[in-house]
Amino acid sequence: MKPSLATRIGALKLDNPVLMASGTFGYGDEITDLVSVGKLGGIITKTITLQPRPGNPPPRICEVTGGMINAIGLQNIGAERFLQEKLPALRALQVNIIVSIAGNSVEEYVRLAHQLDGVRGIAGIELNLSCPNLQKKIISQDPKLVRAIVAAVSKASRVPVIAKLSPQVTDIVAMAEIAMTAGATAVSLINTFPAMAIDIATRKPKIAFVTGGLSGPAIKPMAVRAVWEVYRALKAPIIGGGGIMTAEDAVEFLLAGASAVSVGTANFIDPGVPEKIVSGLRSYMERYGIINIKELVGSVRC
Amino acid sequence: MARTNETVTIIENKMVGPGYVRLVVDAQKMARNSRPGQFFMLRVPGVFLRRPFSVYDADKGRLSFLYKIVGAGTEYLSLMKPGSSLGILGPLGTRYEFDAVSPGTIPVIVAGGTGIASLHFLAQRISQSGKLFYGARTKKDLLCLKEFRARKWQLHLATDDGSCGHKGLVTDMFKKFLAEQSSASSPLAVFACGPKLMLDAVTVAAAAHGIVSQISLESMMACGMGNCQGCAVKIGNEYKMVCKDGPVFNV
Ligand SMILES: Cc1cc2nc3c(=O)[nH]c(=O)nc-3n(C[C@H](O)[C@H](O)[C@H](O)COP(=O)(O)OP(=O)(O)OC[C@H]3O[C@@H](n4cnc5c(N)ncnc54)[C@H](O)[C@@H]3O)c2cc1C
Ligand SMILES: Cc1cc2nc3c(=O)[nH]c(=O)nc-3n(C[C@H](O)[C@H](O)[C@H](O)COP(=O)(O)O)c2cc1C
Ligand code: FES
Repeated sequence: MKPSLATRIGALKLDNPVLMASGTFGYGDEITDLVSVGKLGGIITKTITLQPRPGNPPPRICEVTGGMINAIGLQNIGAERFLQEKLPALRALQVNIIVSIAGNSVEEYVRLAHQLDGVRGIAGIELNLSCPNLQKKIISQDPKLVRAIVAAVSKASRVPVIAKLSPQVTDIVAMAEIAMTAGATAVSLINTFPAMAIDIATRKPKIAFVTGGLSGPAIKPMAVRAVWEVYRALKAPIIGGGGIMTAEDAVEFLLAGASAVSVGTANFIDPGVPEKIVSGLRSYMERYGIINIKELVGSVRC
Repeated sequence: MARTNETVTIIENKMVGPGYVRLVVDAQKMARNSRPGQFFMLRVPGVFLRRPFSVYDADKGRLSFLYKIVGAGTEYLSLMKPGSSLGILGPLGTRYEFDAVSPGTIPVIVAGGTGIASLHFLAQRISQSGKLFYGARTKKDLLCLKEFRARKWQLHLATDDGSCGHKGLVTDMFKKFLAEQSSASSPLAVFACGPKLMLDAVTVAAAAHGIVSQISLESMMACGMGNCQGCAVKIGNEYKMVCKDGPVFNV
């Protein structure tokens, strides 16, 4: 029997569990010449905000062992232009579109949710609660704010709401629980780790914003652990990601408890990676005689 | 867009100067699609992110790059042997617009260091000859002079140590040249690639003479195609992406 890769995040059905992570492939409409986006489980757009944001001064990125640090600063064209200029092209791709949003206050999140509600072609909303690059403190470190935002957006939105959390918290399980009880459909684990690198010749930070977010293979074991902790405690639907480069990496996340996975930085190394992960997952299932990918979720033998 | 993501075979990877290497790969389609000013992202084994390199030449199905060994990535790249395969993505970015160089216009190239790579490709594709202003550290760091001479370009060379040509900045020679232009002189089309300070001096001097220059910028890159927004540079009061809005900008 052919293995089934179909999975779901609450009411959101996916043909396969592979999602493009927010902020790592633009708005998704511009790499269709290199990637068969329709073969993926879905895409999570670059985070959009109410007003356009110019982003941080350069240099914004640097390479470190096993990954990279970025401080893009949520550069984006704003919700209105996104809906007008980008969404029509995305819709035409016939793939699940999850729109990532961020704001500076509960009100901003809610206004965004209203603006997106009922718009054809939007299958879900991911709340970027964890962007470490805004001058203010990371929202995911403030339990009250997380609860308020998730509750308000869940109420304002008819599509599944996914809370994307920062790993930089004392207790990721507690944060995930707050998000789930406030009404989130799922949690997305995890965003980048706050990090820093210094050029020893100039004694300057390698990133103008001084600190940024670490992504890539360097963070994978910590991301797998976060997924496992949350799954073990809550059995919540989880989008797992952080450092996924191969199908084997994706399997690890599924075994730890993720129902879907997100692929970010790997897109820079090779835009063909997400598709290779889809076919690699199929081969893995065939090799181990797994008929339904859901059998894998959380099946780590501890 | 004519870019593709392929694995190609290395034909040559040879030292052509102290720390400078010419890399030639077999890539029919990519060579055909490449235009002067465009670049490729090379997947160098041993380092994490791909590295960007301008097209140095593209002819008969062969794509060439000219790079300087400056760190781990270029060091590993230089160790790769002919016959081995290399992942490359491109061609990417904007190009030098030289179709606009009308018969009466004189192309003027200002190059610093490895900036010569993309400008070499440009000179190969412009039918008329022009003037090359080229600065480097020493005589040995001045590359591909033979090719420019063969195409009858007039050379104005500068080195930091005076081992060849003018001792000092190439931009001083360029400024002097501009100052000598009169209203009766032929119009100029300026193309420049090199260190940031050199480019600043070129654009300021050209602008003072009412000339728009086409300059090629560099920045740290991750994706090379506008997806990560990591390669931003400030142009006017806006952030532009070097990989997609550039690398060649009109200023
Ligand atoms: C569009 C574009 C075209 C380029 N074309 C050429 C070319 O034709 N020939 C050539 O020799 N070099 C070119 N470069 C620069 C080349 O990409 C870097 O020298 C290379 O990435 C360094 O890699 P590394 O691992 O050896 O050095 P690293 O160890 O990463 O760094 C060594 C030094 O190089 C600098 N550097 C690293 N990456 C870049 C980068 N992407 N752009 C600029 N500086 C960087 C670092 O700040 C550091 O000072 C180009 C860069 C860009 C953006
Ligand atoms: C350049 C860059 C930009 C990113 N932009 C966003 C963003 O706008 N919103 C967001 O929620 N996450 C953003 N992320 C985080 C990724 O979506 C992902 O959660 C993180 O990088 C870890 O996964 P990875 O190791 O597979 O990249 C960004 C990451 C990178 C590297
Ligand atoms: S390198 Fe990613 S946007 Fe330019």
